[in-house]
Amino acid sequence: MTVTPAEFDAFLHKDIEKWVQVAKFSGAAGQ
Amino acid sequence: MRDFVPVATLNYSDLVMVVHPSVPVNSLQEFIALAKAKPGKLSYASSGGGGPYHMAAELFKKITGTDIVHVSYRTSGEQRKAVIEGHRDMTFDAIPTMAPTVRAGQVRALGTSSATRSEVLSDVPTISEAGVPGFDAGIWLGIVAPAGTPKPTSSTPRSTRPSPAPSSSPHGSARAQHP
Repeated sequence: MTVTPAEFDAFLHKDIEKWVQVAKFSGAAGQ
Repeated sequence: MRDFVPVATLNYSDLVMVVHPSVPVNSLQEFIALAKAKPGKLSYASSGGGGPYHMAAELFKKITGTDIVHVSYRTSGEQRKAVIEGHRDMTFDAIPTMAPTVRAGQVRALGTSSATRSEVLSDVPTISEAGVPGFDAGIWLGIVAPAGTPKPTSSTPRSTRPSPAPSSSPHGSARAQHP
């Protein structure tokens, strides 16, 4: 799938938000 | 994120969730039922806290409401060995790395981690289609540039997000394990 920088930007923000929540759930965010 | 501007994605690798053959399940739903029946009794291996395999398993626990104990190893090799030898019940791993072990019957694959099936393990359902809708996890590599990089420069490269096809190089697989 070809992506533009703008699409990558949107993906990156969405992915970071998702994994921040998982890290908080796991406790890894506090390590 | 304010310090960087995204330029391009380079690679995306799916993961596979596997269990040791002694775990008495043949499907993802059976594994979830077993984990719910025995909260805190099953364990999974990762190659380090905060890494992709740890986060994938935690996402699985979060969505399914299961309590599976995390055991962190120093390397992905130790993580893999712990499940192959039956010291841990489950792990997530990169498909190109784990596929030969699955085919050899050393571990049992219960699901792959993206929205579509892997070309490498096409007979293995996705975790989403196996009963955990919306589950999506993988390892991607990309390029970012310092914030303020002139747009004509930062927007020049275009990239692909290839599926984890058999053509994934050993270098790509090894790199994906240690992002």
